[in-house]
Amino acid sequence: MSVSRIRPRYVVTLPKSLRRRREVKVGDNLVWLPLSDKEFLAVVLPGDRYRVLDELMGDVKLTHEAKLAAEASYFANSGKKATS
Amino acid sequence: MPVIESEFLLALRATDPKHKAALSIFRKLPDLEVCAAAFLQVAWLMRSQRKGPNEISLALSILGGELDSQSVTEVPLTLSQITRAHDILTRHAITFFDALILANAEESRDRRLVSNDNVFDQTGTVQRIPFK
Repeated sequence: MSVSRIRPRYVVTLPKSLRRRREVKVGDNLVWLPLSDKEFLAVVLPGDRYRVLDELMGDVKLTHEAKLAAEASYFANSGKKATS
Repeated sequence: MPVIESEFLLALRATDPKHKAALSIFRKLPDLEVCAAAFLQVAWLMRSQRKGPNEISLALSILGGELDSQSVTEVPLTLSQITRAHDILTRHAITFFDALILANAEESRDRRLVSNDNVFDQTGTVQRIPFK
């Protein structure tokens, strides 16, 4: 566990243990989702998020046929373990 | 509030031909909604096109974070939408998730749907806002 102090103007430094993680880098955004009065969930939004989306699903098609195939394949694979 | 659907979510990809148009929609229409069915449809499209669970999970997280940062309201799937979607399916040749998206738009306050897909014109119940 790491602790960060909230400084003037509510500036907070990301703890070193988190900064070492490959998924977090300068220029990224944090989306703060309130969970309760004292709890927040911070989701890392990459600064180049549109490019990351492109890498993840650049070739995904959205034709009528692709939609039909998606629904058919999903129901056909229902109950089976998803594989990478 | 106008509703965005899967096409809009995919247009957030950097090289999508409609990427700039999608970003301009964020500026022009600051009170957007997104229905859970759109995320489901994107996940199913990715899965059927050989994307792994981790890729799907990361893509959905980034999409969710982006929409949250743009103050797009997420509308949960409701029993009413599911009922309405099945009613649409009995009358129109449309996919299950498109019917859910349409049901969501029909239940939104101003019945507007941000989409270029004229499949959503079949019912004549929503006003479609194209982006290109």
